[in-house]
Amino acid sequence: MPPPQDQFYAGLGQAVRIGTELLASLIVGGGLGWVVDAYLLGSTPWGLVVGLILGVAAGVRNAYRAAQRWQNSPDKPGQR
Amino acid sequence: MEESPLHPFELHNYFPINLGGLDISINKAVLIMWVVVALVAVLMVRAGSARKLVPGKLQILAEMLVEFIRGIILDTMGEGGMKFFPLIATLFLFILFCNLIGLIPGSYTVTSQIVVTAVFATVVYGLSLVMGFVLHGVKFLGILVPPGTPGWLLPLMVPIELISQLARPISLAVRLFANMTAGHVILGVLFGLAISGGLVIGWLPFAFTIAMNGLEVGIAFIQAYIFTVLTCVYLGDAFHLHGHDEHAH
Repeated sequence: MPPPQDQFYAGLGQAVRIGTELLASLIVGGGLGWVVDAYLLGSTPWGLVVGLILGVAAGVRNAYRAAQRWQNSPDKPGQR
Repeated sequence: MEESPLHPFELHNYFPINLGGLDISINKAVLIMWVVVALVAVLMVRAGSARKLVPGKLQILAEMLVEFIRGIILDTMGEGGMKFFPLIATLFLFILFCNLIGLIPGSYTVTSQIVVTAVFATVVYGLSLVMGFVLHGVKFLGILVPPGTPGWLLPLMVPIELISQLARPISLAVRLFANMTAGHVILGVLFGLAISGGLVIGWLPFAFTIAMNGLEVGIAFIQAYIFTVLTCVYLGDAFHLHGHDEHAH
């Protein structure tokens, strides 16, 4: 019997998911900015700064979308 | 006896093979993966071969797992997603059994190696990209433009969407890897405390070890479940481009 069908576990899963979503976007944004700095333009540290800011925005956007999808799922989150 | 909490993550080479500078030795992780594959295959084949109207225990278990995976696919992708059922069911069962087998003391958690989870994530994300471009052609690049974006916001939104797309495989890989690794490190630390504490106070961390093991069983299910759900979501996004967002508004 898979526990995720339990409402508590479904909620826990969502929480864990959104946390990593923020982190991963930050890593990607910072990483891209750093690559632009170090290999493409040599614009240290501006690429990293802009990349991190965009990464935060992307992370919030991902978390927002995840919450939105959860809200719009055909049945209530705990019952699927 | 002092033992590093990272000890469970060491790969013991049982059978070194070196193919033209490429290390493809048979180590503990490879061995456990074979065990998992054999276990899943034997379970599902044996459960499926009976085909009784009144199912036995094994068949009930298999039917429950299949129904569960089918539910996830129908929830996230709709009827069209059933084409991917074999892939998604394989992923779910493999990850679930890897996570669960890792909880047996002395065995190995394959999913605590980021190489393994990164390969899964790359395959899933690569498949969604290939499928998107095959189904929608160049229009698939429209996934970088959220519906309803005013033109003057495009220079800002496209980089943000690009990053959030690139973050998908990374969050998929890191989530599974980090959860499994962290859980086993905690178990390792607690057990180390139990051993160094001796009989006087060691029973306390030992009791926590048992409690943590119970929690880890839950985490094993949740992580396999989340990986499967997100696989479906990503494939579904490529499947019907912006379909979901249109329903939302």
